[in-house]
Amino acid sequence: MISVMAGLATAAILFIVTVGLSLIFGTMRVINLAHGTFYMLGAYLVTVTFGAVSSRALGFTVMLLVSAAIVAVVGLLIEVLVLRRLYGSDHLLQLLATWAILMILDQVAIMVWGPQNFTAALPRAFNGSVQMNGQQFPQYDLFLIGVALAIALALWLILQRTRFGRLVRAAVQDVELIRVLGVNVNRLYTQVFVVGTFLAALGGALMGPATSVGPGIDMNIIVEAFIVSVIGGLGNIWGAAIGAIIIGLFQSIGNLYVPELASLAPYIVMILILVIRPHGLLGKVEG
Amino acid sequence: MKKRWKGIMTVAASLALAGVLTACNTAASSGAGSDGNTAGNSSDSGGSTSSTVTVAAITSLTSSISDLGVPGYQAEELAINQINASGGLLGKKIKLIKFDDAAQPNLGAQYADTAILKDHVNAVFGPVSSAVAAAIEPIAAQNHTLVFFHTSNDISLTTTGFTKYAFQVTPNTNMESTAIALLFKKEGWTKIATISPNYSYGHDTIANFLKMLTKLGVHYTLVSQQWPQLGTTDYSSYISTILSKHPQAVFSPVFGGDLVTFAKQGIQYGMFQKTNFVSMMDPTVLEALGSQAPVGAWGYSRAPFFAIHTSDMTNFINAYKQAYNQYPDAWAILAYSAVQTWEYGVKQADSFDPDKVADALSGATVPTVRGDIKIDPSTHQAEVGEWVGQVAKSSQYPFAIWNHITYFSPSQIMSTGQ
Repeated sequence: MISVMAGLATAAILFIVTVGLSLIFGTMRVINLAHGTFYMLGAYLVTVTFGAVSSRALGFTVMLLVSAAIVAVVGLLIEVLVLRRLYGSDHLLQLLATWAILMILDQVAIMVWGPQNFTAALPRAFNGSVQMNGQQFPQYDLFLIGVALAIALALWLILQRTRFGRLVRAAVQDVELIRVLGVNVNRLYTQVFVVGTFLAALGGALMGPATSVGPGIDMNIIVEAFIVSVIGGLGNIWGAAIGAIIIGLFQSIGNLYVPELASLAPYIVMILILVIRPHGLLGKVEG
Repeated sequence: MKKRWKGIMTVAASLALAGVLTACNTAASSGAGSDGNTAGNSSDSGGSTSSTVTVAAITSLTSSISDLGVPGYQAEELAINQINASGGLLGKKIKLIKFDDAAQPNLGAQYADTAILKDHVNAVFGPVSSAVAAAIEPIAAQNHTLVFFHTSNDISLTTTGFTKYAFQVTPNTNMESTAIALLFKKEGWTKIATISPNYSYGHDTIANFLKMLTKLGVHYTLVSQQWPQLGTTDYSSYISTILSKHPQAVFSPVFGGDLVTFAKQGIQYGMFQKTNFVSMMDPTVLEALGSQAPVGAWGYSRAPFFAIHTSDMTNFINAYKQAYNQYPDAWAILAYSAVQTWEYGVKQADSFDPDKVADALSGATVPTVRGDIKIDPSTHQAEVGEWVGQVAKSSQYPFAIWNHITYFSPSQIMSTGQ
């Protein structure tokens, strides 16, 4: 029971980060290697820059949103200044460009915050445990699961009910068609990239107080996020959710029964899924 | 169909690219960093010939283990400054140059070459990673250059890899895990679990710990063994697994930033009340955790400043605090004692000649800030002990320290350990 809940808490962060990656890929067909770096910036902002500003639930939530918004502005600049010039070109160029952004931002982070690890206190409002089956479960993990559910719901509503959502869904199907119909695709891309960046940074900001933050955390998360999105199907939001839950549960249940293999579990699952359904569980076959 | 595969191949390629370029990235950035150092240094063509003698620190100043490397470098800088302020060593000023190995053996080897062949250093201090240490050791030996290990502690450095020029001033992996086995025996813990980083240090430490328990006659039941990767950011699934097996005690060689993460997440699960969790809860970790210390957990350390009550230590703490505005952790104390060991050897030999210094140190008893340490002539392993204690809040410091402190002496952890 506790293991399942722990797995879901892991899945919550993975979902929030991966859904941003998937949204960007699905709409823009850009594989954004710098996605994990936005996660890292969000984590730094909450733990170091805003460290201990507020311990109350409301203040902390505002801090999360402000951190993610600041990183989203960075994302906006990057989209307008760099990525926009590369949409027509080869995938490899986009990969190299997002990789360059990753390296530059990594170095900026070391220059601003230094090479050491930081740790911030959990907000007092969530710094306790609840009893579950006679075992303690962290309140903060419950909060993470709640935030992930809220984001999933919000994204579903936005995609189904708003004009922006309709355009995103249309772009996922066929971007050339909506361009011909007179939609400003460039603006749509910018909006999607900003939303994706915001989600990555929010994931990092949420994880920041629960872990220690230092150089390199971006590489860990980007690999995991790619695994999750490959399992779920790149470009599919519900795929990201299912992929995150599968990986989260495989890690926690795997630890329980086969600890020697638990660290390999994500890769094994990914290989199996690629063999059985090469486009991921919910990914669509292109072309 | 074709397009679908193209998509997948792109993802695969990007992941592979990510891995390859990470390596290049660290290599490139650290290379650039140290070039500045060496360029500046070679202009005065230092070495032992002129009025200054050059020594090198090769250690991890970036990467996930820089928490151990940076304090070590700072303490070395302090030690060298103090030597120079008091008139130098044998009348010569000492110059310290630094290289960031970024925890990569190939970089460590490359910098050892540069330091020895280009900068003509007399001694090398470092590194954090035993893999880097193993890469540096033969290069130093080939070129008759002294090397002092103070953080990396793989036992092979002083046994199978023994060279005349290498010295080890920290407890090796076997000594440390022997100390923990003695603690388990003393406390009577038999239903046990382990959680350890998934690389050679973690596996070796656990293997020796279990071997020592058997040797000490402890009949234990191992209920769970976990192997998280170095740099894990989410330990909740490991914590919930261990707790579900209800061990009396858990041995965890997880250290540094990873242990900070683990402690924060463990507190939320009530881990440190439900089981006796034993790990490297030294000042580095306790200082980082501040008010959120895992009270009740057990710590072990190679040199906790608050457990060593000598005037030398007090002076060192004050000097270190003044220079860097923080308390010295074990990594600082060990690195400082490494420089002291070299200094003592040079004074005894009355020469910088590496062969003479090595001979002078072999079998010597060296006065250091952590107390006198005897250098075993057959391995060049210093006879040093290990401290354990239980994490408790303190009114004296802005972070938690230990109570119930036990010191396992070198004779206890070396006689049974080898």
